[in-house]
Amino acid sequence: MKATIIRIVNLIWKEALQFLRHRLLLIFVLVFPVWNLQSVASSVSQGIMHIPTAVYDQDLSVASRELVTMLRNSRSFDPDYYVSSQDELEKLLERGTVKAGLVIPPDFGADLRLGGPGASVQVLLDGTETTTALLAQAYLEGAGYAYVERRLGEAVIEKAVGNLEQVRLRARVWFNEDLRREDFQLPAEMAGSVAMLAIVLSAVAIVRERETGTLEQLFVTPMRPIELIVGKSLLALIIAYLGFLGMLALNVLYFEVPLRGSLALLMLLTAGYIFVELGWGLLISVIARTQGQGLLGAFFIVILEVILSGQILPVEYMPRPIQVISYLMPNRHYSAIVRDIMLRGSSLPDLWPHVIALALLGVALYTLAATRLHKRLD
Amino acid sequence: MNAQSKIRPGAVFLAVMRKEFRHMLRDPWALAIVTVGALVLITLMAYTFSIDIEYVPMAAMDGDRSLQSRTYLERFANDTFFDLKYWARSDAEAREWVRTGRVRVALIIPRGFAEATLREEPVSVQLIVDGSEPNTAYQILGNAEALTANYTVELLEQRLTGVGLAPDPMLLDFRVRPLYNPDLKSIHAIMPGLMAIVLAMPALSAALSLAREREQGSLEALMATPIRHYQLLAGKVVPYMLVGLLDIFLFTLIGRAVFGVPLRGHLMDLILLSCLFLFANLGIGLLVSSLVRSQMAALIVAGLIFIMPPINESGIFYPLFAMPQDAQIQSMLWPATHYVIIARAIFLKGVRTSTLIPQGAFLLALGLMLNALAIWRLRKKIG
Repeated sequence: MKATIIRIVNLIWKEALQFLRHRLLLIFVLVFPVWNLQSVASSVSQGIMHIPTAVYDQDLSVASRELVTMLRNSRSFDPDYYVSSQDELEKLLERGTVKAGLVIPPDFGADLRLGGPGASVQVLLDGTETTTALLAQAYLEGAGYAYVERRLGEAVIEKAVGNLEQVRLRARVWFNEDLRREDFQLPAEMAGSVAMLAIVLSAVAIVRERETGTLEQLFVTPMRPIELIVGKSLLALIIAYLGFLGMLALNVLYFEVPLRGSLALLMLLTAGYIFVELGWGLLISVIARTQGQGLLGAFFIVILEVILSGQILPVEYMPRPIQVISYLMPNRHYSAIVRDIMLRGSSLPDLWPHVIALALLGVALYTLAATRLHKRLD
Repeated sequence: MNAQSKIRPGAVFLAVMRKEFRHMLRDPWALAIVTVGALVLITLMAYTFSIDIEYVPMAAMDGDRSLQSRTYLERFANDTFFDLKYWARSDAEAREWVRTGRVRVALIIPRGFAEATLREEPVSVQLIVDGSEPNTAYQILGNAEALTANYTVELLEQRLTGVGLAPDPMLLDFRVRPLYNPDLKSIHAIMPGLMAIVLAMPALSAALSLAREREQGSLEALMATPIRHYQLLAGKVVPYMLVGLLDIFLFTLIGRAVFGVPLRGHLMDLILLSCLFLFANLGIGLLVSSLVRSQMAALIVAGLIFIMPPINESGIFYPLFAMPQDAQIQSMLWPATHYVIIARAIFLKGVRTSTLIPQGAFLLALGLMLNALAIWRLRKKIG
């Protein structure tokens, strides 16, 4: 047993020295995610959309100017371009200079008088930006009502038939009062980077030795295959864990993402998560015959993990079959754990489904990897 | 020098290319990941993101249990955005459901709701929104506000009718017409965008190929021959570019056949501009490989560059103009950002290359610069 431990420690030491030779990699892994996190953190102005907008005002009345001002003040639209024909408007949309166009008809002001027929304004939206277009559509619907409400309100006050405001919606947002995008995005990014490190480092563990022929050399030493795997995995675990600690510190101390739950619980579950993720890497490593296969396979899995983690679209809104696949991705459970601990302040009783899922995944991945490895080594 | 001048440069380039193709075919599994794997990936992603957020789990606590409160709640029940399926018996219960994540939003109507509306006094209802997913939270807030405004307008109208003043129900009507994608299907915008992410695969595999040659020392052997550095690199770039073009054909077919995404522009424009994008992406991959020491390092470095910026700042998922100025400038550095604009414009708007000259020129310039840097690095390291 003692000899085993010494052999494993020696192996880790040797591998760590080898890893240290990759100075550029080390610097990059620490700096790039932070730099990219910075860009995420700075792109927070959701809700305030500032859609670049062109206006084709055929009325040029007080009312039409009021309408443009109302849209500008909403900060949903930036009506910075004025055009004098429909053609010009469509050209701007085609080139992508503006994402919305407002066509105000000639009789706009006259039709808008109370008791008048009502006026309609055409809004052209760039449908290639569906998210924006949908939000803009919802906003305009609300703005139409708000305008009517204001005009009706004036009438209501005039006729003294009661109060202007009727049902007031008092909205309170929990867990992220200001709806800061980075509070949601940064922990998810962290989970993705940790997955990348863990999977890639372990995916090449065995196959690299095989490719360079040093695997046979290692096997003539007293080192047993299981010790080799344990040693390699431990090193990957250590590196990925150090990466996690660095990113967590940055998230909390520099970007001020709240950590409402228990730090100890987060650290413990992260260690467990990395261990499971290494299972994926090892599985790839024993299946792959070349480093190229192993690394491309690892990249494939990492992209899949990031996509299905719920970072871009919450898992519960994904199509059913995709949800089923997402349960096989350790990152999907870990992202939920990180978010719940950091933002909701959840504790273990709230998290147990994810913890059990991770444990089951770990058992399955390691069993698969071990059976494959036995076959390959025999 | 003399030896070099006797060989036609074209022949050398072809020979290097043939060698690279052999390498590729010798590892069919790696090739399969780059083509079939890429196809699987884009199909899965497209399928995943083809869905718009709907049926958000919602709870309500009706403290009034009146005709009025039910009428108001019905608006939420009839809206497909909300899935009003839980009825809480107390405020505390509704709050607990939000806290545990059973529902994303809870609406609490106080006792006296009907009385207040009848007495024409304002009344407040409380909405508790789970903000841990900001994108969903924004949509919840917007939809809830629209439904409430709609209800208020109806109340005001009723009252005005009561005093004999019947206004036109819709004084100001915004007629929204989405161009290029009339039904606002998100898949039409997402699919061309996703191509920018998945086309990282061929570039990564070129990067790994260069890193492998360096790791195994066969690059030094090649450098000792009269082959010039640029010929060597061109021989590496072209085969992977062809693989990338194959990917683009497959993506276009899948997009058309499975997801109904039209190709309104010309295929030639798509091929031309995609080549420029692949060229710039390959430049990133080869430059990374010329800087790091192993295939593993090349994959981690290039992989992070190919995953993070396209997801966060290329405009696929979050619109560019909503970012602050400095983030927008940073996002313009990445080839993927330009390719998302190009792919959407060709697929959906059906524009020609002439409209996309700024994006194409940037990709070409970036590609030339990165590949030149990679050649310079290799020469310095080995030459």
